[in-house]
Amino acid sequence: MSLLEVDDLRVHLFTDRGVVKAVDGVQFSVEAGRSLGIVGESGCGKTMTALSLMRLIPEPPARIVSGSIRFDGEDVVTMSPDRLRALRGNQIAMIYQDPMTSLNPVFTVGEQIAEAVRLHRRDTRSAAWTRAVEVLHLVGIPDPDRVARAYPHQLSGGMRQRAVIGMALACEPKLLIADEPTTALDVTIQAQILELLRRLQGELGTGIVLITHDLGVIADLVDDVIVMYAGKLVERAPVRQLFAAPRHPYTSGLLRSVPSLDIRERRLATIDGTVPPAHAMPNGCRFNPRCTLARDICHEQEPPLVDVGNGTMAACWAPL
Amino acid sequence: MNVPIGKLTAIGGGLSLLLILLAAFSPWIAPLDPLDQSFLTANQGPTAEHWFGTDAFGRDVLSRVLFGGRVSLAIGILAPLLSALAGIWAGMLAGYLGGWTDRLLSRSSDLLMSFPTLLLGVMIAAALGPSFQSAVIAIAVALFPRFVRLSRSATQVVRREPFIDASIAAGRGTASIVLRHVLPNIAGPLVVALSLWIATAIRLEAALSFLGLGAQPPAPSWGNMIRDGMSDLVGDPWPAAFAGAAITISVLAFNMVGDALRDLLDPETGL
Repeated sequence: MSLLEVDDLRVHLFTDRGVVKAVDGVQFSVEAGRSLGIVGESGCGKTMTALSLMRLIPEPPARIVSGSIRFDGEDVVTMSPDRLRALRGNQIAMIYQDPMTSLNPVFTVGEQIAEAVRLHRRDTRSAAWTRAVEVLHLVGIPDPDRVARAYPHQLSGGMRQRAVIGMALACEPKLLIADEPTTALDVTIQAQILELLRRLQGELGTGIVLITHDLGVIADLVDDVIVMYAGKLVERAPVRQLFAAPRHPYTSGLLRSVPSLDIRERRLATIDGTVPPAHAMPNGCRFNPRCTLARDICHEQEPPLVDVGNGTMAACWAPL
Repeated sequence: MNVPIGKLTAIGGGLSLLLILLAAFSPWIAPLDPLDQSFLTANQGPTAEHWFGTDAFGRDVLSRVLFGGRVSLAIGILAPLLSALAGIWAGMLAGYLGGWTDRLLSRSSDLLMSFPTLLLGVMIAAALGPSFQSAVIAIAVALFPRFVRLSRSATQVVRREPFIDASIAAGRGTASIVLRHVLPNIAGPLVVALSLWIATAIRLEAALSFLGLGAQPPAPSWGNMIRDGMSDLVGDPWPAAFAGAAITISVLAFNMVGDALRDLLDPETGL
């Protein structure tokens, strides 16, 4: 049994202007101690997917209309609020994009981590504080005793993100969801944070779901990748396979649009067109208006997600 | 204003504290019994024996101002505190939960807000019958919607902060988030508002007892001293003048505290 099994997940947004299918039939699984990357451009549904894993989607307007999310065999979709609270932060933890605002400005870093620990464990205050200092040390913060007594604004961005990661790991969760954990950081700090996540995954055996639009981050950290486009899962592959031989035209377009240091004086490739508006999705394959290889069938029928060999699944009538 | 923040805080805070202490210890400080009447000394201006003069019944105005402060300041401080206690919670719930809770609480406080504060206070005090308690209740209810509004809008801002989402993701329940994460982050503007509304409440109390709806004679309060003094403002202006001065000074003092706190707590000008 996988640690996390998501099957046919559909999250719809019920707005005044109609129903938006933010996530439309996504399936994937994460094994214990493995990592999965979810990539796609803004609005493709990757954050909605991630938030659904802990039922953190804003309800209303969002609602999980069908599908199941099995974590350790238990379905998160039908879980009671109490059970859900016990799960959040304890079994599944989340790291948000912006370390500047993920910490409460009026409490010290140590107080916040200790409190997170005490939410799920019957520790004494001093034991929780010791644990806070311990996780700060774990995430590579020098002089954790001093940092634990510091307020968030007294720390640099990189330090804060380390503290946030420490807080997420304080209860030793089995699964860590990281929503663009390095977007707000500069590149050198970004590399350090990725290195840290990789090391922690090795040491603690935590499963990781990493959401990003940055393919470089994906290549660095994860074992498997799913690519989303307009709420649909278009390709799923082991990371090496995806970079070596993308099968969906969208994935290939994404990869070509990554700037490279090796090739000079080349205009950066882009994918023509834009993502269709949520309430005016084309018939057939949602990528067809932007696809150079689109055939008749692509305009008529939605391609199913099928095995295209080498461990890759793709939803395309004409895989590359 | 170019007065240094530190100085303003010190003056306003010191003055407020002094007024509260004078009122609290009036039985030991006041030179005479505020209820002691004497026709021989009625309607006098300030003398060596009666520093603030005497009123139409020959009562010592200084003693009455001191004792009146007990009533006026007690109501002026107690009512906003009660109001804050209820209003801050209601506002936080409305701002945090949104939806129907918000609509219900916001609309009912809008309804209260649609009455001028003084008029609302007068209506409630009149309905409850004039007494110390009904003045407290009237002022507390009149200020309630302001606390709801303020804490609601401050909560809505904090609600959008990622650390709130982060603490939901950490498995925290709603009550604990509101108490531990929202309240400490909105406390600043609320403390400022509280001290400014204490000043407002002192004015309201004066108005209510001027209209005969506050503490009842013969017990002195600043408002009813002005009312009593009104009957002979030309012949003996002293009771009304000193009571009025006491009101002015306390309103000024609490406003200074509020302004100073606002500047101190404002991230733009803060220290």
